[in-house]
Amino acid sequence: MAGGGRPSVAEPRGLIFPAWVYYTVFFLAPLTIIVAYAFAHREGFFEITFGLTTENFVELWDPLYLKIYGNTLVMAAGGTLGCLLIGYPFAYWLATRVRSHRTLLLLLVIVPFWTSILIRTYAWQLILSPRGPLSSVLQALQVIANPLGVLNTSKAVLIGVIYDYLPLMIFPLYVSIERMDRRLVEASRDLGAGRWRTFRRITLPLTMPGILTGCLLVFVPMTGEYVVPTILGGAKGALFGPIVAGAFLDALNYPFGAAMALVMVVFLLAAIFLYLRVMGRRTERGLGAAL
Amino acid sequence: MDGAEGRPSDLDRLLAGMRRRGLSRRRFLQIAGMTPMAAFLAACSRRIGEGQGEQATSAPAGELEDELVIYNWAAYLNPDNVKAFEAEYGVTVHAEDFYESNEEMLTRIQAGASGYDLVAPTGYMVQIMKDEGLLLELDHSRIPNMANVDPQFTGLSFDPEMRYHMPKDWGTTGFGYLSKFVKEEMTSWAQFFDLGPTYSGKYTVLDSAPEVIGAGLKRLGHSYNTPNPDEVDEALALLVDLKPHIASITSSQYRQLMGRADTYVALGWNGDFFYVAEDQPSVRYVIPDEGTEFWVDTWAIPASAPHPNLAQEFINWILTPERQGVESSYTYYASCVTGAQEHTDDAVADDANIYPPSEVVERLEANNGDPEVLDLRNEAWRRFQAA
Repeated sequence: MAGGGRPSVAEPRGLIFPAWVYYTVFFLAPLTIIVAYAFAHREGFFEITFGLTTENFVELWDPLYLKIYGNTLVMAAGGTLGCLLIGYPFAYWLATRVRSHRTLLLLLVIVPFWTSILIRTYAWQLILSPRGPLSSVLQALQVIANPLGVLNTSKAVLIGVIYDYLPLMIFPLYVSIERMDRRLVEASRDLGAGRWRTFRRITLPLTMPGILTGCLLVFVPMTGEYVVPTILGGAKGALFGPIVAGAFLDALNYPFGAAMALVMVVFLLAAIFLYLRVMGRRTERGLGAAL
Repeated sequence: MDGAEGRPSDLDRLLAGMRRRGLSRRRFLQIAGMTPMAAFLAACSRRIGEGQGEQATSAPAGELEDELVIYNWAAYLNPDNVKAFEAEYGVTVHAEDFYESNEEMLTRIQAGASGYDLVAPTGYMVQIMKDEGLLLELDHSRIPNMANVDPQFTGLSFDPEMRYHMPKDWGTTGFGYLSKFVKEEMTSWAQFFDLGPTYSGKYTVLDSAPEVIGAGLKRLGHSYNTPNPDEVDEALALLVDLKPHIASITSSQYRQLMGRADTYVALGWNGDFFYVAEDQPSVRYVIPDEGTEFWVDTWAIPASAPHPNLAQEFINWILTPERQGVESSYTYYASCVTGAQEHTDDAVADDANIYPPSEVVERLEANNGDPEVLDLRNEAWRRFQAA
């Protein structure tokens, strides 16, 4: 990530070899297959001719599918923001205020990972059900008048992804906040800056690498999320993940599914590149100013 | 995240099966101690299967193997029968892998990652699979009990000589509704579509192209098997209008959603509403006035099956009226074997939605398995999913 600058140690080059093999076999090869399929022509149920047709991409240029990309990016952005707004205060509290049991609390953050994401997502289905416990409690407290109408909507998907991905946001944030030199904050306060100003000028820029890492770690997988929208999202607001799965599994249309996936990959690469350049530069400037 | 790709679909199916069974109180104790084990076995059987996929046996003349791996719809094979078969032959049966649509099963068998000895395709899918060379030709001398099959089900167009399949059971695709919440008495596809706005958000439809596009076609008075793209588009438009009112597109969860009264109206298969009735006695199943689909599900053996002899033995073993009765009492679907009805629980055997009267049967039409028709509906389905 941005702002590393640790001295490099001379290492035998051979050690990197397994990593190269791994990425070639498990990353490049599947990607090549996807590219090949994306430009292939589908004759019928089982027949595909490989070639250089752009028909699959032309079909994607349709309000129907553009809307799916839009919905997906909005969901992923909302989910990332939600994780950040919940994760940052928690990580901050954990790294600066908690004296004892810190390891235990960190462990508790991971505990949900010990259960399958699928089972946990099904649990949310029961919690959010209009006739579920949450709905009954909220109605009894007269917070809502009618049964909870969250399940099978985009709100349920948002709740689901924030819940699922929160630990991935908390860890990089925790690390960056914990590593931060607290004396800079004290110095800032001594020199007369208020709490908010200190946070904005010192803490936030110094923890920006953690924020960047956390956002990337949750945003990218969220765009391809399949489990949560399938179980909690219902029929409305179709998202990218389930639609690609449907193209492969239900319609047996590999070329279209591959084209759809490829567009997302290219878009994400471009967006991440831009994001890192802009945010990364700002972070470095922030760091420079702070130091 | 832990495995966002690939694995969930398998687990999903497993869970669907477990959850569905969990609903049935009379079966609860039997299953309760078993589920973690079932999950474990499912994981194992898949791994075993993958290893053996390549060394496919092609000669069905050999001895019985000691293992059988079944890939089936959830809750679609009575565990009592499985146990009896295991005990009688001293073999191990893995029956914990489930799929949610024929297309999904096809994709997996076609991709070669099989290792399965027995699958349960619907008739039209038998046609597609045999045309693709994905099914093993059955040795009729190994299946003498095929004589028990009701002649009504022996000459079906998708495989008239039964060279690649034996009928398993049959049923209809219609819709069910909770009369406690739906005031209108529903009898037709027209009502099914028209009442969408009234019960908005309380609808579910199957996660399967032929059935759902077919419902739209029937509503418009077209054939279930129309090869006419305009008619399919017309049906698609009807479905897209209904979509805002649909809570979920699912083949495995509508029973639970309806059981909790989260939804009131579901496009689904007749037998499934018996499960719903355990929690919602007011559920009604409708074979719509305009007519609908009837389907025959079958037992078939993938060409790559590692244990084809035991698979054929199993098919033969289960084709007796007694064992078919045990099946129907569990699955709530009508058997294709003569005399099975007498061995079936009365509640199932006497139900007109499971064994419909002949005037109703006349309104039914089967999916004819024409790959072009199927493709037409699949492409429409893809647009419906995205809409």
